[in-house]
Amino acid sequence: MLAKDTLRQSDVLSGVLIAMLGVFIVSQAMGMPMKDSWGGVQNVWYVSPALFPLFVGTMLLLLGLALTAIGLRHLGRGGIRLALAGSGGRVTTLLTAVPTIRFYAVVATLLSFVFILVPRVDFFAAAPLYLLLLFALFYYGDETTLIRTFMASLAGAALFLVVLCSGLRDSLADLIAHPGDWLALVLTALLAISGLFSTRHQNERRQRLVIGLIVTTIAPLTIGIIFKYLLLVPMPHEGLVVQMLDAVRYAGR
Amino acid sequence: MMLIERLTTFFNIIGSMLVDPTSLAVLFGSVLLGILFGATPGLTSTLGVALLTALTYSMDTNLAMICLLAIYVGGTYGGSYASILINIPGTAASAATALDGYPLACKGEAGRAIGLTTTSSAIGTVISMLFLVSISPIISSFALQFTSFEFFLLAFFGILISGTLTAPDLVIKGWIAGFLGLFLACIGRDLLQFYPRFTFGIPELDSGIEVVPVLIGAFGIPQIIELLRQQTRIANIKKIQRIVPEFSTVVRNLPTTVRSSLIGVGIGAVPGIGEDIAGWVSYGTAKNTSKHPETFGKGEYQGVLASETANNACVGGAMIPLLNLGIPGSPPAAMLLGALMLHGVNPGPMIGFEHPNFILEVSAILLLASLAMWVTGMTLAKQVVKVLRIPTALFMPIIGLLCIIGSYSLGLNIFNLYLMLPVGIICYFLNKMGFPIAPLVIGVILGPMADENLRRALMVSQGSFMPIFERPVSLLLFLTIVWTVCSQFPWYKRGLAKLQNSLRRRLGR
Repeated sequence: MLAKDTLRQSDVLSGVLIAMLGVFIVSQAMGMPMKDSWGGVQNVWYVSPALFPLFVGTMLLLLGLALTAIGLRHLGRGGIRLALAGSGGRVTTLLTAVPTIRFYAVVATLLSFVFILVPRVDFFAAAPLYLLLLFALFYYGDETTLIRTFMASLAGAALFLVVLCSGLRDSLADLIAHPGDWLALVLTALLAISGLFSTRHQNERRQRLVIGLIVTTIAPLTIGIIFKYLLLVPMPHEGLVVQMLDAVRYAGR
Repeated sequence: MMLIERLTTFFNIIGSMLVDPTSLAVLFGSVLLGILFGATPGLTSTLGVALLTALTYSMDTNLAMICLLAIYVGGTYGGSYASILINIPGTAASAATALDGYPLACKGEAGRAIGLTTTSSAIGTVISMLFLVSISPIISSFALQFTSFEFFLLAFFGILISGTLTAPDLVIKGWIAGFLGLFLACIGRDLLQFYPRFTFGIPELDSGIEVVPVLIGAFGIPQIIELLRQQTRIANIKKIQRIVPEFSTVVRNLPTTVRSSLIGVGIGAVPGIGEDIAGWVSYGTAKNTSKHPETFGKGEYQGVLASETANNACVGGAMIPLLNLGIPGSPPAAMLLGALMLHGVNPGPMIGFEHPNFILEVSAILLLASLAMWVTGMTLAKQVVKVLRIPTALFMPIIGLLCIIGSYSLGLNIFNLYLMLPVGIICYFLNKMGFPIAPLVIGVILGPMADENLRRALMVSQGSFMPIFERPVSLLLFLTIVWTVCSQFPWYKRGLAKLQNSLRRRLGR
């Protein structure tokens, strides 16, 4: 949590945002059937679908305004002026601080895994890439490699976007089955090789990399197999690896 | 005579189960499976009971009940592991446990906390079992007094009290978080007229927002981001010396345990309300009645004990309306109802005639399941605490993977993931700004209940709010809500102090 003065500054902003959300909810609710007919049924106000959103929206509007008022009262005129004057410097510090870059790295990795990889790439191929990337960023990598790995991960995400979300995927599919899965596996291998290269003179980091590689292999397999074959949960996207696992499973029967 | 006969039958049932190796193996296996389900974010005891219902179809009814009740008890208890160790509640029922459980783990007392929750969960289950055997018809008839107004007020009270109790900064922020949760609950087609609200033409939003992705997103994602961002350890781990709590500790906390058990049984007996509310109400009561309320949220054993005892006592409580009225008291109990019907047992007022010993059998299974849970929990605790030794940067990405696959597995819906992550990122910022997250999740859980029951109640009363003041239970709930809100205002505190002073002066004269 932030320090008290910073909290009250953020309360002013968050209060306004919440009040605006309240206004939005109320305005949307006003468009819902109140006394007119819906689905052949003549409405009365107390059965209207707008009733509860109106209550919630009004409460959010009032509470948001109250929060803003608390923040403003705590800061006073001088405090507001100081907060506005210091905001530029704070933004610069926020953008360049190492924890902030770490924040962007985690969020970008999670977003690209969930929105790009999970729906389009075999879980067993996508999960190792996600894990190894996070290990490269935070486990066997250090502050010197953080920005480089982060930039490389953004480039990788862009490459996936181009391949998976454009017509290129279909063209590639004519040449090779499951191009997205192969791309994920190749990128994982490249990440592992670059890790081996960057840790060649550092024993501790090399040891971490080896542990990371073991976990990258074992964890997705264990979790995926439990969900897919024991809990009978089909994977979000099944491709190359699931086909291989199915083949192994049925060969064993 | 009647009582002696019932007790003899009860102990005969227990004896027959204890000498049967298959029953014992199924009991311990199901409890262990339940603990694993509960401890894994995204997998709940409801899902566990649902999965096992299909597997137990070919089993004998008694063995099937052992299997299902054991996984229910284990799953409810298992949620505490993830709450205490990594601050991500394994189930909604253990959300209140994280408030004090994780600070205890940060102090290096995770083992002791798990030992105490294991014992209190077992005691809670046993007490609820006693209620099931003895006064279940009385509780059932009281629970039937609840009508739509009471359900609405109870849901609203649950949101307000969790907002009041969990706000680390200003109470108003807790209430805002609760109302944000209620707004999320409004999304989707409304339950009475099927009108699309806030769906913006997105078909996936038509069925509303699932609780599990919001729960995982709201608790899991901010924790993953923060621990990786700060590069801090998940929690401290000291040398694990003792897991089993001292007898004196158990005795000292007995009043809290008994009170929390009663809250759990009472709330479990009200149809439609689950273990999550029991945990919150019990936590709130423990905090309000404590001599040191300021220690709550900073690693207070009583807080952990209160929520865990209540959510496990809720299991037995939920059995009361299920068996006597055929109305499930909680979501896993609804699954159990289906399983019972599959096995030819129709719960309801006739159960005592059709299956005279069935309630005693269920009670015996609950007793044995709580013992199995204690033994398994104590054995596991020492090993489970060791996960805290794993470096954060190695552990949290795996937890992230579990959160993602867990959210997806519920309903096999990728849209759940698209929801979970933005909710998680928003909750990360809300957390930073001093907004508690738990009321938001409680709002999502209780929102549909509040919305539906408010409108249904007004339909019955033709738009009049007067029944709130005419019905004793609803009046009590209404006054409690008013008191909860008013007690946060400075003028109320000043007025109360003035009143106390004047009373003291008058009495002094």
